[in-house]
Amino acid sequence: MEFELFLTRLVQGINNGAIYAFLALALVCTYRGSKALNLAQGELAMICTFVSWSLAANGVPLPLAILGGVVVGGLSGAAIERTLIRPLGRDAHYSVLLVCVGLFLAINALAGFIWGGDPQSFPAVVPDAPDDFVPVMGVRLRYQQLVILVVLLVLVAALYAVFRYTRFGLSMRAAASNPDSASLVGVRVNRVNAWGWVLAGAVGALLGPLIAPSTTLSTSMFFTFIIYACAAATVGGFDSPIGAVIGGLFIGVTENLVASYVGFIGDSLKLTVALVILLVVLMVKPSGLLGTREVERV
Amino acid sequence: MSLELQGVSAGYGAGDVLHEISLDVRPGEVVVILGANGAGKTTLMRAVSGVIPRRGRILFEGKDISRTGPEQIVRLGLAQVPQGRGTFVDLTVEENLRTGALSRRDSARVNEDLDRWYTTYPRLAERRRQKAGLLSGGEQQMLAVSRAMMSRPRLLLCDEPSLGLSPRLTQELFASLRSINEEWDMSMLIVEQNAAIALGIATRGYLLEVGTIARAGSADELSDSDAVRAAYLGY
Ligand SMILES: Nc1ncnc2c1ncn2[C@@H]1O[C@H](COP(=O)(O)OP(=O)(O)OP(=O)(O)O)[C@@H](O)[C@H]1O
Ligand SMILES: [Mg+2]
Repeated sequence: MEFELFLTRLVQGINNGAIYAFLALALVCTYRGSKALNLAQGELAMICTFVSWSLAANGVPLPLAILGGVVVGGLSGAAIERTLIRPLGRDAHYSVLLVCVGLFLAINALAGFIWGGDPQSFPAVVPDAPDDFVPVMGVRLRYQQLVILVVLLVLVAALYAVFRYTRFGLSMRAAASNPDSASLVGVRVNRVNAWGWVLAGAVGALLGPLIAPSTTLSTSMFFTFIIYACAAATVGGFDSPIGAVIGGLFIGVTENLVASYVGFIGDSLKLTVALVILLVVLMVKPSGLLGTREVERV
Repeated sequence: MSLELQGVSAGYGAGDVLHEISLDVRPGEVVVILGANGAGKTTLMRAVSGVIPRRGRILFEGKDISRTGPEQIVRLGLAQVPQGRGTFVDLTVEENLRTGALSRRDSARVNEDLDRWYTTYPRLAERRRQKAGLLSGGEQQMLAVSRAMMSRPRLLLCDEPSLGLSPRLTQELFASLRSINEEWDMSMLIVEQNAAIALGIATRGYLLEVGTIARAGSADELSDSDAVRAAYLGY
C-alpha cells in the first residue's frame, strides 16, 4: 500500500516533469544557436494552441489542426528570429532577453485580444475519460499522459540523432560552438540559427495541444511551466537536449516526492522546491548536469 | 593569377585599418606577409575571406569576390586557417575535421580525405574521439590546417600558424605546409611574425606596415633587406 502510493506519486512527478522537459527542449533549440533564452516560448506555444483549437472548432480534424498549429509555430519562430533577434547581432544577450520579455507580453495580449480571457476546453487526441488508463502495478497511467511521454522521448531521440549524425546537425553544433569558424568552413550561421527557432516554435506548438485537455486552454496556461522549463534547462545544461529532458524529469519527480512526503511543503511550495534544486545545481555545476563545460586549453 | 588584390581597404567601422592594398599570389606560389603586431595582417586575411566588409577589387581566379560572403568564398575554393586556430572546442577532433568538408558536395570522398590527414598528422588520429579543446596548441594548429584542407581548397590562407608553438613544432608545421604546397600544388598566402622560417618556404613576400604595403619582393630580396632584417630577423 505504501509502495503503491509512492509509485503513484512518482508517476505524477514524471508526468509533470515530462511537460517541463518538453518546453525545456524548445528553449534548448533556440539557446544553442542564438544564445537566446526565449522567455516567450510558452506564450508562443499558447497562441499556437489557440490556432489549433480554432482550426478544430471549425471542423478541421484534430491531428490536422494540431499540425496546423505546429506549422504556425515553426513559421513564427523563423519570423521572430529574422525580424527581432538577428538584427541585434551576435553577442547582444541582454537586448535579446529584453526582446523576449517584450514578446511575452505582446503575444499574451494578442491572444487575449483575439480569443478573449475565458478558458476553453480542448479536445484530447486519445480517449481521455476517467477510465481511459493502463493500470500498472496499481498505478493509473492515463493515455493522454502516455502520449506526452512517448512524443517527448521520440522528439528528443530524433533531435539527438539529427544533432549527432547529420551534416545539418554538425553545422548547427559548429555554429553554436564557434560562429566565426563556422562561417569560415561554409556554415550559413544565421540560417542555421533560424532553424533552431523553427524547431523551438514547432516543439512548443506540439506541446500545447497535448496538455490543454487537462490544463484547459487559456492565455495563462504556460505561466508556471515556463519557469519550470527554465529551471529544467538550467539543471540539465542549456545546450543539451537530453540534459533538458533529464532536468525536467528530475525536477518533476523530486518536487512531487518532496511535496508529498515533507509535510509543511505540500502543493503550495512545489515551485520553491524546483528553485532550490536549481540553486544547488548552479552552485555545484554551473553549466548544468549535461551542459558543455568550457574545455578550451591554449 | 590565383589571387589578386587591387586597392583593397577595410576596417572595423571606426576608420580603415587597411589602405589601398594591392598584392597577388600566382598559382602554386607561397607568399608570405610580414608585419608587426597591429599592422593589419589579420584584417587583411579577414577581408580576403569575406569575414569583414571591404572595398576595392579582390579577384580569386579572375572572379571578383569583394562582395561575396565567407560561406560562399570557401565554396569557391579559398580556405582560411584563422589566427588562434578557431577550434570547435566542444566538438571531437574528427567532427572538427568533418566541419571542414561541410562546404563540399562529394560527401563520398570525405572519408578518403580524413584518412589522408590522419596519415599526415598521426597525433590527430590517436585523438580523433577526444574533444578538440583538449588538444595541445600544436595539435590544434595541425587540426586547423587539416580542417581547412578538408574543403579541398585551391588557395590556403594561414594566419600566424606559429602562434604559441615551440620552435620545433613551428619547424614541423612549416615543413608540412611546404609539402602540402608541393604535393597539391597549393597556392598559399601566409601571415607570419617568424620571418626566418616563413621566408624559408616562401617564393615571395610583402611587408605590411600600418595598413599599407611597405615593401614587396622575392623571399631572398626580403631576407637581405635591412628593414626586414632589423625588425624581423634580428641580425
Ligand atoms: N574586431 C576589431 N574591432 C576593432 N578594431 C580591430 C578589430 N580587430 C583588429 N582591430 C584593430 O585593427 C588593427 C589591426 O589589427 P590586426 O588584428 O589586423 O593586426 P595584426 O597585424 O594581425 O596583429 P597581430 O600580429 O597582433 O595578430 C589594430 O589596430 C587593431 O586594434
Ligand atoms: Mg593577426
